[in-house]
Amino acid sequence: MPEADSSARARFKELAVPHLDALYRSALRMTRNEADAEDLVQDTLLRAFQFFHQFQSGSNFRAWVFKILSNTFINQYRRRSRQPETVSYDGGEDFYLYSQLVENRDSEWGDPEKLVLNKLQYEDILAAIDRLPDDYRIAVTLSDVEGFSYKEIAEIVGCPIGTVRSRLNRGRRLLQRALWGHLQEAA
Amino acid sequence: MHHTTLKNCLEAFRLLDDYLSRELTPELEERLDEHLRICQECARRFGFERWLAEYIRDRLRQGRAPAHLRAWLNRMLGEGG
Repeated sequence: MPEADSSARARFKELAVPHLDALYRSALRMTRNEADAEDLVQDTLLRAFQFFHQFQSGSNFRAWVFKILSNTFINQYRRRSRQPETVSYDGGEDFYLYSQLVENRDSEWGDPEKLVLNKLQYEDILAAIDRLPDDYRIAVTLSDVEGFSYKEIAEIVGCPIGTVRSRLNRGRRLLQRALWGHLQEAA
Repeated sequence: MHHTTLKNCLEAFRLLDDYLSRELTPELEERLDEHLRICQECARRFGFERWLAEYIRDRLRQGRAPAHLRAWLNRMLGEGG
């Protein structure tokens, strides 16, 4: 292996390996399917390595590789697996889950936090997120799970910051409605 | 410099998303904190929202890549790195 190639591999490995779990988690939320998520991460990392010479040393590798993840999903996977969206946005309200929990509180249910802890399973949260339309689901995943800023998300998904804010607002409201649905089933 | 306090709860509600994303300007953060100190209901609501966001994040960040995906990456990049 030529020296330059070997050192590029080593540098890429050092940067990419720490983000593998986050890339896979996000790919799984994007594709909602384990086999597709693995393929998406492999395609992303192969592409990232192929274009690694374009990555500017010292800049934000995490945002750079997530942008490749997002582009690869949009160009290859979303087109292939497009499904009718399962929810529509009807305006909703802020603090939806809190309001429902407080309004329906009785002696058995107790504090809103306690109820969520006791009744909401890991699988319920995943199912609720997976019901969100693609754009909202991706914004919520990048922000609320992976902790990217508005500016980073705008660069990753290629849209204005105002659009990121609006997708997060709607995505979070829809998520709370879906979580409330799971809590009612569990009650 | 004088900061005007938030006039009412609806004004605070408009800051919810930026609050959850930790994207409030220092000035707005200070004004919201001031409102949350005097309005118990808003403090309770904002507290629940942040708690829920952190709970969801903590649960979902437990997801790990499968071992064979990690093995594939190591093979692709050479075991020795």
